[in-house]
Amino acid sequence: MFLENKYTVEELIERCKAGERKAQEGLYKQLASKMMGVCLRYATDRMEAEDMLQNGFIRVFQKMADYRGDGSFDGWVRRIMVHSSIEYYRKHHKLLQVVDMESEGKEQSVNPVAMANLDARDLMVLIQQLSAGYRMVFNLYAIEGYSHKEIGEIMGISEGASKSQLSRARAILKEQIKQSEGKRYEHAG
Amino acid sequence: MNMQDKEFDDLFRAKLDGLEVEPSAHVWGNIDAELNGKRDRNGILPFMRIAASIIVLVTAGIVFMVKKANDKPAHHPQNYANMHEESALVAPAATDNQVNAPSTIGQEVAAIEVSVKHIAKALPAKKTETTETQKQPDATVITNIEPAKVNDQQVLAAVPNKTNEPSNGVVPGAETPLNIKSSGAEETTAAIKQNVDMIAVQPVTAKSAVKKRGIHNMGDLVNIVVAKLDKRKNKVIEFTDTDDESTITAVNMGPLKIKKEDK
Repeated sequence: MFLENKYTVEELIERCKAGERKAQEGLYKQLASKMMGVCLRYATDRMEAEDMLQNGFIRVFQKMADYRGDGSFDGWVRRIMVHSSIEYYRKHHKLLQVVDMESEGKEQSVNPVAMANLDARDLMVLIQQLSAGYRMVFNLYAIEGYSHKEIGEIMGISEGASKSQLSRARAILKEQIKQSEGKRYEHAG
Repeated sequence: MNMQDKEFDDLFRAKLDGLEVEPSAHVWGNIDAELNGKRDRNGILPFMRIAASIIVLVTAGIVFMVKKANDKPAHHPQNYANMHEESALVAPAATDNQVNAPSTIGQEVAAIEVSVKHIAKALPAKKTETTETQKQPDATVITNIEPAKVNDQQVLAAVPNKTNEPSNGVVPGAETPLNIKSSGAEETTAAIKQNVDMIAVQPVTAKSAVKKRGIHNMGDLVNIVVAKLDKRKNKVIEFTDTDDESTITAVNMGPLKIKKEDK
């Protein structure tokens, strides 16, 4: 039914490198939803995420020739999306200044069952409510699997700052989950 | 509590990694437009450049014509004619220095087969100016000492009408300002001499440079046309060849002068 489904990703990539617009559209349609899922985690809302997605894909098509086929194409595009998202924030929020460390308060413990009840949308909202610096570090470390050293380099902060922002981000998330759990309990009762 | 942190992270990852959300339909439209925009801009730019340079050229041309038309009556037409002949034939003693220039030019011109008319036209115009400024103090000196004796050959030859000018009448009597003035005049004369030397060199070099390069593109063509019309050192517009195209490197519109220096 879809024209692009007649081609494999490899064929699409080759045609994209040649600058064929139809192939670029096909590739976009194959990857857009997945990459939108990535961008949403770095954004505060849908609009921001779509801006990041747009910038990311433009960069993907511009840099297409750099993709040599080592590693999965999805992974390559995804890394560009992550960088595009961070770049977006650097431009629009001048953010990423290190937040102080008053975070090390009481350790929150979260009931794993309560967390299992939260669906993806709830967790997404929680992440989006974090302030930008926390959100970036948490995403990069917990979900993308970057090391603190890599995060420090990407965001231009120290390794220690990355660590402290991560633990602060976790603490805030746990607090939020506990609160929503309590509310849910109240509603139930 | 590392274990708990890891579990916590894993839970987020399990639920959010691989999450797919359909973006709005307009996103592809924006990407498409931006990719197109890049291409279009590259396509249009060269034409825009040519169009822009033509506009600049035409404007400059008009400014020039108007300026020239306004300037002409200011030069004494008779003097102009006299000077024209003089420079070609014999030189008065006082203008030895200046006359050197035209005569050397004459030789060079003959050698390179540039039309003599152009240079002859360009130079006497300049020369009238120089002699005028140079003569002025002389004339005033004469009027100061012997107002009646104006038939000095130099003065007569170069600027016969000069002594009748009202400016002469202002100076007599005041000796000190007169001295200052004449020393200033010497300086300007020296400067003008330099100018004339430069003019003497300029048309020749410009011409040969154009010849050597030949016409490869629009820029060269414009350079040649401009060289024909504009005899100043800094042309109204000047193109220079870069790798594969020519770019504007100098603009000279009277008060507005822009020049990109190479190296």
